[in-house]
Amino acid sequence: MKAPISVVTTFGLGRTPAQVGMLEVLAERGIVADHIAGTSLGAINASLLAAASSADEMTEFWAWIHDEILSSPMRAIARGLTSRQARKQEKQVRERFAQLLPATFEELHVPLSLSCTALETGAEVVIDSGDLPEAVMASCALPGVFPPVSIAGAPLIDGGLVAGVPLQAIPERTRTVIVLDTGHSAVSPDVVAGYRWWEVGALSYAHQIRGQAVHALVRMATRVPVVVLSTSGGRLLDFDDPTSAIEAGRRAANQQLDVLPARLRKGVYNLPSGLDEFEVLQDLQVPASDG
Amino acid sequence: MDVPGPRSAEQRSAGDPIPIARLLPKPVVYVMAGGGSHGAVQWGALQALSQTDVEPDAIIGTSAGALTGSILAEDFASGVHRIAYVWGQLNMSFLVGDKWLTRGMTQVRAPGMLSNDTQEATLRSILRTGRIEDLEVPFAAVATDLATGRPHVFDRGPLIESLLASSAIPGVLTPVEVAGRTYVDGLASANLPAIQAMQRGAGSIVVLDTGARKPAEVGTSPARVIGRVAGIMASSQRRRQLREVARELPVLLLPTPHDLGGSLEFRDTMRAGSAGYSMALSYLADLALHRRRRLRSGLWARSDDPGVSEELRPMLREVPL
Repeated sequence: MKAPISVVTTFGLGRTPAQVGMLEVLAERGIVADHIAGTSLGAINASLLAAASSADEMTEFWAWIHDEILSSPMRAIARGLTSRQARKQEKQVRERFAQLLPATFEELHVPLSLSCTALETGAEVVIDSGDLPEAVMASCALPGVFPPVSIAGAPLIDGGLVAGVPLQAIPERTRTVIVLDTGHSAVSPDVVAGYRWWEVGALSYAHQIRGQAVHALVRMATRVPVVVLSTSGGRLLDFDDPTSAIEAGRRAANQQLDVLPARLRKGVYNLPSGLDEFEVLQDLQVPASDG
Repeated sequence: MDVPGPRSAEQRSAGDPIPIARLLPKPVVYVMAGGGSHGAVQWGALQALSQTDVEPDAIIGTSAGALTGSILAEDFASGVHRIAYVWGQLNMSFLVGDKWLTRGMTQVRAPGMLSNDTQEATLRSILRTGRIEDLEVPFAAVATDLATGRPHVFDRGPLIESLLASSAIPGVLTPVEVAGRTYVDGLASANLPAIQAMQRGAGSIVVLDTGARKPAEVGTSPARVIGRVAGIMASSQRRRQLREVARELPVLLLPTPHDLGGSLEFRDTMRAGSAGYSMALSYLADLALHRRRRLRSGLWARSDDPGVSEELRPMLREVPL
């Protein structure tokens, strides 16, 4: 892998902790990020990585947020529907960020960019300087769970809505992009047969986010090698057990890095199932035998 | 009253019918976006297009746009008149019945809050053609495969079933099973199916969009934020569709009103149709007057169209005025 390397953490709801397992594997193999981009709940992992937090610290954070806030997403949203509760949930998380993260982007070890969505215009807003905990809070302000966060006068919410795979912020100098992909939204047809109406609604949103990722990946993969580490283990809509998600991330990253050739070329490596149905991405897929 | 005025002297001088066909490389595809009650805008846009010499070689639509498009595809000559009578009557009771609110509350475990039976009966009272391939103008309706999240283009098979699939709003209406797969509204994958039209060989595209709501003061209360999510995702998807296609093809984006009410409110459909008609007609007349040569690839639209966001500006092609 040619440096500089950008590591990207995606949207992933209940599967986001899997990125911690993937980051552990990257560290074990001596793969170091020269730039980090994150969005949605993935912004938490991105900023912890940029702050040189250990895998243990990350694991502890996910166990905490699972127990305190996200153990039942429906209940978290039901609570978030009252402004007072949404602010209370936000305050808990914000205090935690203040303990774990430096106060500003400028104090980080590695440059970091976080994607958010502007509530008013629906545009993607990338933040890479200033108040760090504030920016992480904005990037992961899941609608209905946390209130919007105002930065420079504009209310911002979850970046996953418009940038599920936040590649907009990758610097020109980057030579390799590693995407820690937890946004896999395709499910088997017999699973959807038993879905209730709110699951149908939530899955449709996840699909929309996934669809956007395709075009972001295409644009990036025509420029540099894009290595996708991806797990479909665990459930997107359920925050059951962060520890098993982290383990699934570890397993997937090890398997997928093992088959990677020593020298990479432009294109997508390890195109996850679901995305491989998009013809444009198929064309950019580098076969496993290559190299 | 909100009634279109007569054409201006300049608009009349564009000719009758307005000569637009020479500008559009064939095959010409009408792309009809979804948008619930905002679909009334397309009724007006189609009336304006019926005053030009353009005849679509194919029509592709999503959700409400698929419904309106299928009526035009069934019989081109009478279509625009029949569409007027449909939109003149359409309201929630034709789509989900009268007791939808109370009934919806009870369906806690169902895959949709509401059944599609009422909508199906309404569609059967409008359309007389059983199968898509038997429509007069080649037609396709776009739905989303719920398992994979991919758009699915229905271009043959039972018409009513495909329209129900294309407009089954996820979480609200009941997903539709066709040949063992489950489908929801095309809004989840391709609400403005321009890429799908291009993939099917369009030479140029006429986009019949559905406008937008009045930009209300954006509140930050949880309910307001959740209410904005669908709109944010739809506009991001729409930008992507238009950008990808305008790179390759001439895309004619008819102007639409951006001061509409909610997309499930049917009180103002007549006003939406009226605005859709006047805005489209005046743009088409300007285009005919000021452009002689065939359109090249890019986004052909009014420069002040609020539907052309910052991201789309680089592809904008203006008619010199």
